[in-house]
Amino acid sequence: MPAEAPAFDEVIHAPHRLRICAALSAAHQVEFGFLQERLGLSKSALSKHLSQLAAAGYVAQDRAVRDARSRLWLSLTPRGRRAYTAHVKALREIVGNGDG
Amino acid sequence: METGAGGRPTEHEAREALAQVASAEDAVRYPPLPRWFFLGQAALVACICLAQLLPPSDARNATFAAAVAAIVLGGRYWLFRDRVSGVLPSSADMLPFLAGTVGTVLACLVVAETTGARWIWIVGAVLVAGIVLGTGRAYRRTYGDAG
Repeated sequence: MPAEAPAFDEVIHAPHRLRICAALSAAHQVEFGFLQERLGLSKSALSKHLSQLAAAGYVAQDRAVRDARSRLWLSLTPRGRRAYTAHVKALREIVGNGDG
Repeated sequence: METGAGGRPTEHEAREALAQVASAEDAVRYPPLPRWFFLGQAALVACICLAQLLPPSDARNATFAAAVAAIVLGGRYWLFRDRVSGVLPSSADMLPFLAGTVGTVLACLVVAETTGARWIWIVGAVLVAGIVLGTGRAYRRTYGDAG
């Protein structure tokens, strides 16, 4: 698979969405409540950002019932993972180049 | 929030964003783990080394059993824990640990095979257990102790 070229992404760069993508990039699937706790976001704020990321095709949401509890599992789509990787590379490039 | 030309972040903003990225990734990738987890892993990797002192067929079985137990323990409490599934370890973070443990085992294998000094596996067991415990201490200091 070719390495991602640095590419700044406006959808990902908003602070909360960047943290959501970063958290999701570290695993295949993360449960909604876990992400909410770790990022310190309200349920509605997290849902809003997830909707924006899902609309861009970056995040997938799967509901699964386990131990009689319905849980919402979140993951980065392959497209989202590529966009996130490219975005982080763009940030590193800015830091590395001393641009700004 | 100030931004650079064309809506791109300034160097300072990019640095802050990267710090947030690292923090958010770590929150998922590295859960607080209890001391016993590392004690258990240290005992299991030491068992893998000490198993090489057994007759070949017993060594194979004991190595397999200890390796499976280490994988199951790591899987249950780290990689596939409750609410997080399929943690993707960072190769950069894992490299020193893997180089230390795998390098020690390979060195023991070479010494035992070339010189017949099978006692080297006892030294190897102490070394790999020490690496796991040292890594565990640093891990719990950085990411938290689950008790």
